[in-house]
Amino acid sequence: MPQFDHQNIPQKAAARSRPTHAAVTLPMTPETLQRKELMEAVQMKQRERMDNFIPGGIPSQVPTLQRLVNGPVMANALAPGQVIQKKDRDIEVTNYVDVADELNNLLTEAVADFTQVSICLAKMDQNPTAIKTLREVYKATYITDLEVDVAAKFKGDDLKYLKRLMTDGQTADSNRPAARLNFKSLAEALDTAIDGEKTDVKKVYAVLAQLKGTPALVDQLKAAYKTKTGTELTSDLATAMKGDDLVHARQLIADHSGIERINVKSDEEAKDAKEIIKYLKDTYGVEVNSQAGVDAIKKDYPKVPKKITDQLRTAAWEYRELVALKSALESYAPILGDMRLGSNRVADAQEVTTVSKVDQALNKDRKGGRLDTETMGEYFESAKNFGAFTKGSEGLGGASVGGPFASNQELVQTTMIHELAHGLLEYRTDDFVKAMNYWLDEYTPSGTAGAEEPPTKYGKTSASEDLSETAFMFFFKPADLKKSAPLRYKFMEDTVNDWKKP
Amino acid sequence: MHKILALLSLLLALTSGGVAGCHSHRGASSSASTKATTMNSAMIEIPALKPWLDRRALTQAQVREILKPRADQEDAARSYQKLKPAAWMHNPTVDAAHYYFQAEKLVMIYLSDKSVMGLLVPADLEAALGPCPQDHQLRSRAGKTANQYAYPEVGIVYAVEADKVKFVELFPPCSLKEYLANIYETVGPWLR
Repeated sequence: MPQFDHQNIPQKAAARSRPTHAAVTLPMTPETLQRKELMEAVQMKQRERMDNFIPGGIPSQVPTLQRLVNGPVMANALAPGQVIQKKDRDIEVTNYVDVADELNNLLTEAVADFTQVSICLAKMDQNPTAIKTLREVYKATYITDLEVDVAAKFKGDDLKYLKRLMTDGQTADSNRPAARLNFKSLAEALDTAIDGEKTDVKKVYAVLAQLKGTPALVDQLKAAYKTKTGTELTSDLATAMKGDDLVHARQLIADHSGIERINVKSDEEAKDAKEIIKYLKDTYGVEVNSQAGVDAIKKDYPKVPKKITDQLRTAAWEYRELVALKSALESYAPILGDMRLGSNRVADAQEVTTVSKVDQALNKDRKGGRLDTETMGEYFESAKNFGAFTKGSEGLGGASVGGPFASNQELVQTTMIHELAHGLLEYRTDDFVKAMNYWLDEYTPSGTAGAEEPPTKYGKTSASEDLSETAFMFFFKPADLKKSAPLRYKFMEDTVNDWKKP
Repeated sequence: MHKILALLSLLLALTSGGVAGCHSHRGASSSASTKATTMNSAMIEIPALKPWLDRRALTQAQVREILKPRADQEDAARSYQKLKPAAWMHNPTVDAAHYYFQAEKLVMIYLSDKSVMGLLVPADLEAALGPCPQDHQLRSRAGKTANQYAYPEVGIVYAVEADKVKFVELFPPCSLKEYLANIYETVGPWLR
């Protein structure tokens, strides 16, 4: 199992000036391809701006945040017998290019507006992948580092706060257990900071940002605040703060649990992402529902203390993850959605019906369980859900991570094929164990000399992991699988051929 | 207390004929003070496992006599976790268990057959063996949410996931330190 390693990802060369290689043909490495793609997105965005330019118009001070409601419009009056259709989840799209543009506008002002910069950075939700991508987009567009520009405009506590919002998952405190938060102390700090017109807004931000937008933690702080003051936090904020100050405070405690968030680099990606989500539901019977993943983890890890599970939170999808998800589901198309009716799997209910993007998993189901920084994906049988975690998307679009993967995009896609196999191929596990003399049972290697080995090191973990690794190899690197593990290739070939037999 | 536990473990090992996986009890370091560590393995009452608990003192020849395995149901060069090499014997028509031997001595009886596991209830096992101390609760190859409850002092380890027993290991009693050193294969991270 190739391990993703931040330290080994080649970093882009720091550009100090715009490249002027018009007459030089540069080799198209993955890095240059990515840069080319990025620049095209930036240029497209700039062309759009010019097309939409209104002379004399007042440009928005806040980057575009599109909240797209897709789904059936609910009628106020229902006809007799009419069934209320479940409303599709709202989709919130954040465009990196817009955020980078807005940040650059703010940071090139003589006096940069702290709150507006905070609002921009908070859109990244302190998510490592999002922060990294924003930095890349910013640098590709403006040639300078975002951190450098921020550090040039702010200092002291303001800079410290903005750096917290730019936490990229690599710093020591990025995974600080929120369970250590003392809600009583936080409530007292808020009570002191919120004081009508004298409200210390920066103190309020500093307290609220510690929650990292985690719904259960926000609820606990609200409860502690009410116990302390006898009043509602949201009401007090609305009374004491206004304008952008209030926008940012609300942003820090927003409840995203009913919303799918997607980060994109262009309006085209935003449109495509929305279409993909609809397509997955209509065609494959798989709903993109991140809160379902959080709920599934809580259900499947009952021994982990609530103070830990309260830290679970949904995360924003990267556009490329949705593309990878669509490709992964295509591998199993014959046994998904309406297609399943014509397959040999028609008698059994579909094993995967929701997919989720969740920030972190849990490492074990015990009292000592904690947030996990290693898990890339996990299948939850009890909820028919597969969760993709932030760890799995780190370095998305970057260079090769080694092993059989040409890029991290491939790693993401293969992780998705792997997780889907845990659900959709579970019915084949017993047959797989019987067919592979490598395994004594689902969990135990037989120790038989000369047995055909799993296609990857991670496949040796258990027969179920072996089958999932075999599946991703079959769909993604069939020639490699056929060569290295012919028994497994034949097993998958038979399995897939049988799908076509109702 | 530690000395008493160590002596008890030593006594258990001697009465069971010793085990290659658990060679010596001089290194016993378990601090557990559970029902299991304070009783003789013969005192353990788990009806569903009784036939196999009683067989832990048998030799390879004695087990062969019971199982009467075909040639393909026996292999002199297999392994079980860290027990390498180990002779393996299994005849499902006679017995659901897999037997492993080193130097003719039985070192492991492994059970995961669903018909047997279906008879086991985690709460009943805990009632029979006592609460499992934290340091005896191990990560399990049975899955990311599975836990392995180790009572090596009476030669019993079982894995549970979603309140279902996934497998059971029965072996001549030894200390936790010896179980970890000689039998238990560390479970790697569940990455995906």
